[in-house]
Amino acid sequence: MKEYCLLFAIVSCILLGKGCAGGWERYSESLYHSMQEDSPEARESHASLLDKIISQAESRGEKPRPGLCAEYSFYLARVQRMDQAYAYLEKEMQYYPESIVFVKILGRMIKGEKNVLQNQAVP
Amino acid sequence: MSCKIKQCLKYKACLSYVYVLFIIFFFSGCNGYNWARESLYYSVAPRTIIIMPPRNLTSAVESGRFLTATLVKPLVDLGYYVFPVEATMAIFRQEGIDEGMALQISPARLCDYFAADAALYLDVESWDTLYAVLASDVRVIANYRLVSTKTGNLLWQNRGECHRSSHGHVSDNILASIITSTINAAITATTTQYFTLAQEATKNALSTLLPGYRHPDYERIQQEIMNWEKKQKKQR
Repeated sequence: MKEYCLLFAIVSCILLGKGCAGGWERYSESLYHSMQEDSPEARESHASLLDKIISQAESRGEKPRPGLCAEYSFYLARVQRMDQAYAYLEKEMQYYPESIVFVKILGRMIKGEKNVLQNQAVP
Repeated sequence: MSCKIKQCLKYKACLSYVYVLFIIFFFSGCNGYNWARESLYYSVAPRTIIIMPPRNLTSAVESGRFLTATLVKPLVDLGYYVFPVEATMAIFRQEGIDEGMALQISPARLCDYFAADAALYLDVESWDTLYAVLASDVRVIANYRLVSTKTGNLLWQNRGECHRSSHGHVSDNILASIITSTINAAITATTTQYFTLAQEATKNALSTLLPGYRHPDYERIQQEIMNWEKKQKKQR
């Protein structure tokens, strides 16, 4: 009986671990297919995965991985969910201050501004 | 007789001592670190990386863009902050900068624009299927370069390569062999997922890139570099 309990505990831990890592492990393939198919459905599918990875991290009290909130914000803006898009840009800046310059440029871009690269002429 | 046994035992003890020394030297040489190189790399210590539009040297138009999809996760896992690829490309597009123009932007300007510490450039050399008479070979080959936006210096580069082949096999029944090999070649060519090959090519290339500031090994490596630099100063 003890052996069965131990086996059950081990299998549960493995499955739990897999469940936690699952979203992030699928990230590259999901992004690849989103680029390859280049359809609203494929982008929606990738955005759902980003949402899942971010929510999983936050529910554990951890920071989502670098860049994910900014990326999710980009997809939200593409489907005109602007309030949420700005909220995720704020999150990215809070989690990763080194992203502030990039995130501000992204914020101006999703607003539809032109010359977001600080109005500097490109060489 | 006992003298011979003693000699034999001594000889065996010597031999095992040599084995132990060999193992120690072998593994000390295989720790994978070259402190002179590491010290130089971390003197720049890039934290944020911008992935630039790839230079595509193949006939597969979209291959470079697809390959960038395999870069983000391994770079983040290595402890770097990577700007989201699709968003970066969208910013360039909105500014009227096509892929060719983006590659003309100087590293220093990339630092000004995005506050990126390093830019990752990608040359896609092969993204195709080669057909021989009874075999096919699906290949993804790319060259990866990380350049400091502060100095313009090359920080790291490597070539990533992955291919999957179907092989013809010959048996007594030649006609059967030809049919089997042709079917195998066609199956390999059509079912091989470029994603898997691209991911493997990127993984191979990034295996030599040093960990970034968010990696669990970062602090330990910094400490070891400091120790190495102290030793170097003492030796001088």
